[in-house]
Amino acid sequence: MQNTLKIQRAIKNVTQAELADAIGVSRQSINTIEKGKFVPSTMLALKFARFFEVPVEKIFILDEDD
Amino acid sequence: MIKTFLPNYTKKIAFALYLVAVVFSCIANVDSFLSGYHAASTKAEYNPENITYDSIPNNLEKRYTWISLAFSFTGLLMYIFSKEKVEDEYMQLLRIKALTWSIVLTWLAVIFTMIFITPLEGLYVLQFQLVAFLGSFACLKRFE
Repeated sequence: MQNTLKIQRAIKNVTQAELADAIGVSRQSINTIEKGKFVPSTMLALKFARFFEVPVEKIFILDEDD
Repeated sequence: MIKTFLPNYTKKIAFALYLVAVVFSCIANVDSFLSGYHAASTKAEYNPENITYDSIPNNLEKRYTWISLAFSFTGLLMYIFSKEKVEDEYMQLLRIKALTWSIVLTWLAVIFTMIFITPLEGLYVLQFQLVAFLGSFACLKRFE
């Protein structure tokens, strides 16, 4: 699974720490999600979508082999 | 999922309890240390039957060992069940990974001591597993 979290952050001009505070997770979690090391739960994905005001599919994209 | 019931500040209390355990453990083992130190410094062959140190009575040694174990287990368990500053699902994932690592490390330690030294006894195996869990969790948090 790929994600556009870093791009969405850049569009909205927020830092990892600010996003972490807004969502209620640690900055380390944001970092690992952006690097693709950790796939968040549905609830967390929906929180990201609500924060960036975009559909979840715009942030998290399934690979062909997923 | 590993539940964390205690607030973050209890980690400091847990650490203090563990330090108390270390102090009691040192006091309880001071005679063995002196015997070993004397044997090493005089290059004499270590034989506890020939050299006896009795700075702490035997019954107190045992009592201090048990007090040390009680403080140690309380401290370690308290630390494990304390929340992180920001508790989220990634921390839960790291805890599960750390638990897996602690099982592997404990097995390795038990096998190693069984072959090369003297086998770890029951309570010390449990204590080692708790320390291995905390060590693995700290390493995963830092390096992953």
